[in-house]
Amino acid sequence: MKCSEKIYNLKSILILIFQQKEHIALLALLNNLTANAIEAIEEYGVIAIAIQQQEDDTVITVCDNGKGIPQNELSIIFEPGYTTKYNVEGVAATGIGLSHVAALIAKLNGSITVESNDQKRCLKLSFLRKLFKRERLK
Amino acid sequence: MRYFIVDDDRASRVMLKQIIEDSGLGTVIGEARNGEDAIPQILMTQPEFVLIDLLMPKLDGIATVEHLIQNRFEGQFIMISQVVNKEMVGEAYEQGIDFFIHKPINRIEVENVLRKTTEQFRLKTHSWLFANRLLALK
Repeated sequence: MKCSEKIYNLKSILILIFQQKEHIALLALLNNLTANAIEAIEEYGVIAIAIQQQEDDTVITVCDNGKGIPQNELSIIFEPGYTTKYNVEGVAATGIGLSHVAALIAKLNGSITVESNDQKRCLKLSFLRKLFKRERLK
Repeated sequence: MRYFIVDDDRASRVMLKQIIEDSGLGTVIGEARNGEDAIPQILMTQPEFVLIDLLMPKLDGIATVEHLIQNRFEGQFIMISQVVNKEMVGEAYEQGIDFFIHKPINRIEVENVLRKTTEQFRLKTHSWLFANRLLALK
């Protein structure tokens, strides 16, 4: 198999410290979304991960400036089995990444929205603020 | 070439459509989630090729093909089969289906099967045109 090299810049924006009991589920979420972001980047790119307090919600966003998602495909990306990735033998990937993400978010009573345009693609996860314990960054 | 896709799984429909359109094989002019919905649309739009799932709710693939042939639909069928069910595949061959695509989807398989069906279609049309010209010469 041929390996291609990518250069990307991973930025994280963090002002407060957020603590969460369901950290394993949260890690699985971020792992999936970050892996997708890296895969979306063709050669050079930027990935930004942020966590912020927005009114009653704690919002986590994962953005990348990779190839993006066409508008007509936005509604299908969370469907189990749907994938845009194929290996060199032509075999489709399992297509369970984002459907797993959606299931985990539902379990945490959160919601997910996607925005995609020419410049960047962002997945925005909102959770009730009470799900997180906050602390000032020392 | 114009294609119509009949499959109860939305992810598969979208993925097949992407493969067809990305590889420049043609366009997908319509899709349906079962045989019952597909029949009137196929008879109206007369696509050159119909990609049809073997196992579907309401009207299964074989019954749908049978119905379309009875209604003088002349396009070609390509069967999508998930399970390697020998009886059903045998029945499909008896209905005059020569081409199969297997699930999970393999991009290389889909492209190659569709290229072969296109070639066969072109040969058929050319020999028909040739025969007509010969008749005209008489």
